[in-house]
Amino acid sequence: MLYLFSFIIFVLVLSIIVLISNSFSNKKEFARKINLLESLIEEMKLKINNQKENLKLSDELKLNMIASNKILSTKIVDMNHSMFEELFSKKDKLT
Amino acid sequence: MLKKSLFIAFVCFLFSCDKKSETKIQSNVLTANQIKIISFYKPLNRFTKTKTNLSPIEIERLAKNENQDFKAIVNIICAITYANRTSYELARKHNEKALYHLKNSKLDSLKARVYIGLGGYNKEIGNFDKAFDNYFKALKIFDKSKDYGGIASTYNFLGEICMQKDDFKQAKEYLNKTLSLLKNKTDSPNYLQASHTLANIYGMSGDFKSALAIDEKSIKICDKIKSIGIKAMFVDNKANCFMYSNQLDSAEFYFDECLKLDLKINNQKQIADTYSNQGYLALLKKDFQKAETLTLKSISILNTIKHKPNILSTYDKLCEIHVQQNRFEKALETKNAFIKEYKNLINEKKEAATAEYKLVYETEKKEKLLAENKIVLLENEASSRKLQYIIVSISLLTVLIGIIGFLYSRQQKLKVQQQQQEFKLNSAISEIQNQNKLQEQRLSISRDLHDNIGSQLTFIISSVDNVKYGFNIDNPKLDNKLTNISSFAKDTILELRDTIWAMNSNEISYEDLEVRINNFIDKAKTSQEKISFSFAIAESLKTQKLTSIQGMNIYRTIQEAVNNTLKYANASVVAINVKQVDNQTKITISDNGNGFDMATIEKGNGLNNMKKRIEEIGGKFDLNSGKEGTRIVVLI
Repeated sequence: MLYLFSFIIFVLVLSIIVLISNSFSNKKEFARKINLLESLIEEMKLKINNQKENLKLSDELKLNMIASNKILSTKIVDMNHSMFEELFSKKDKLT
Repeated sequence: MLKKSLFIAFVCFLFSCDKKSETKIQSNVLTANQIKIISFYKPLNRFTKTKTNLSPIEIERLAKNENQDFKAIVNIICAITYANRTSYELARKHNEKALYHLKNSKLDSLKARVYIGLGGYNKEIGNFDKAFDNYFKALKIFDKSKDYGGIASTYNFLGEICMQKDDFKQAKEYLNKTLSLLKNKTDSPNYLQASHTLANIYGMSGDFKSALAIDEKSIKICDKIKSIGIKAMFVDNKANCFMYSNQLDSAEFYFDECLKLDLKINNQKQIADTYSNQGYLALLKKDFQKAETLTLKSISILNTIKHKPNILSTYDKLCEIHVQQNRFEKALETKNAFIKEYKNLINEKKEAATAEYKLVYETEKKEKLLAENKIVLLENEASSRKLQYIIVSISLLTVLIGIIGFLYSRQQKLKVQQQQQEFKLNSAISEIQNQNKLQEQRLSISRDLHDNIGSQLTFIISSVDNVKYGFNIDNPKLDNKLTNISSFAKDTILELRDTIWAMNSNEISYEDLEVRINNFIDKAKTSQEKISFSFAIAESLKTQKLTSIQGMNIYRTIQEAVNNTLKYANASVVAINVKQVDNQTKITISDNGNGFDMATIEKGNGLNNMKKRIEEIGGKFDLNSGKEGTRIVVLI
């Protein structure tokens, strides 16, 4: 009886040790996993920030391009007008 | 006389032996209970029955839970006590118990002490062979431990047995060994005892000369150590020697001396013995009246102290006195008194023996009862202990199962929490990934768009240049307009390329910035050859990383500042300096041009844009202008 009790107690104590060690190793593994995921997120956030900045630059450029487009269009229209004037004056001289 | 000498020998031996064992006991660490028992043991060393109120049974009860050695000591104490009370059977029993407890003990001196006790018992009951065996066992132990005091005492006892067996030769041999061993301790009780026994043997074997020589020598020693009691014994011995060697006057003198000593120490038994001896001496001298008076005096004292054996021997002497006086009726009367006393003595002895056996029987009975009770008690104790074990084990099992349950549930809870946390992080990652993809797509689209714009602008520039050079335009106004379109398109392409450069670089270092600015300065130099440009970056800053927007804004600010100098300052020197001040980067763009009045000139788009760009990246913009030139300081 005493031996049986001793054996059961031994098994239970062993189980407790196994459970505690498992718990520790699980926590350790989880912390490692979380750290990995966190560093991944950090990296991705950095990338997104860079992309945001690039998009901002792109938007800025877009606005500049729109402005440039307007200016260039005006200038081309103005040049066409001058060219027509030049061509008409040449046509009048010929006629 | 024989009994007296035996008692002294016994006392002497126990004194020497017990002193030794006591020293051994005290050398060990004693428990409180052991000290309590020892405190009763010490008075017993002096072998007086009145020094302790504790009975041997009570002493034994005190030592119930002590170790084997201590139990043995207690039994030895009990044996000594019983021997003093002449309960020899009980003394033997305790000595045997002591021997049992000493079975595995290393205290050999105690074992020897027990053998001496058993030897004393066997000698007392006349079992001389067993007594010899016991004494030789003790002798063997003393020999082994080289305990010369013990050896001397044991030889003394052996000598006494031999004397009792009338083996005077062997007795002399043993006693001489004792004397030889104690030759340096002539004043010791053992030496004097051996001398007394030896003198007795010489006297009994008729060698009065040797006996008297020993007595003389011993009396001197007694005088030296001032021991009146032992001196009286030797004086008595001497008187006896003279009496039996028919030197009656000398005998009378020494009996008188002996009586004086006995009276001095008030030893009633010795006084009675001396009166008896004097009576016998008077008989030898045919002084019947004196002999009768002294003998009756002796009987009177012996009756007072109730010393039956000596009363008998004295009655015997009185009877002889009456016979020698031819007073046969008186002799018959004395003989009848002798027989009556003898019967009384026998009855007393029988009663004492019966009482002793009864005591032994009752003690054994009680012990048996005690043993039975003890067994029952032990059984109960064992069963209760078993029950206690079971209760403790079940409690322990319950606690352990509880702990396991708690640990398991905690582990499961933790797993769920971990899964939830992991899920949250994974969803965050997928969300970021989606955002990332979306932004990537937007960037890709914008890049395509920029490429298209770039190619269209290039097409415009090449078309304008073709028109300009292909058609040989004479109109300067038109020519100027075409040049203006081409230059504007080129500027736009440059801006586009700069932005694309910044967009394609996730990180821009000051080194990259340096290359870019140098390219721009080189182009500026071609249009303004008179201006001297200098550009310096501190070595420590070259590897410092900037984000694309930071790099772009700094580049644009420097570009704007240099363009302003080229356009308005009419300067000969333009210096750009980038260095580290404290934890900040300081960019200084300075020229030696005309400068402007900061109070009167309104800030245009260019200056505002520069300030806006620097503030957008968390920097500080500072502008100073005067006659000595313009100085722009940017702190990031």
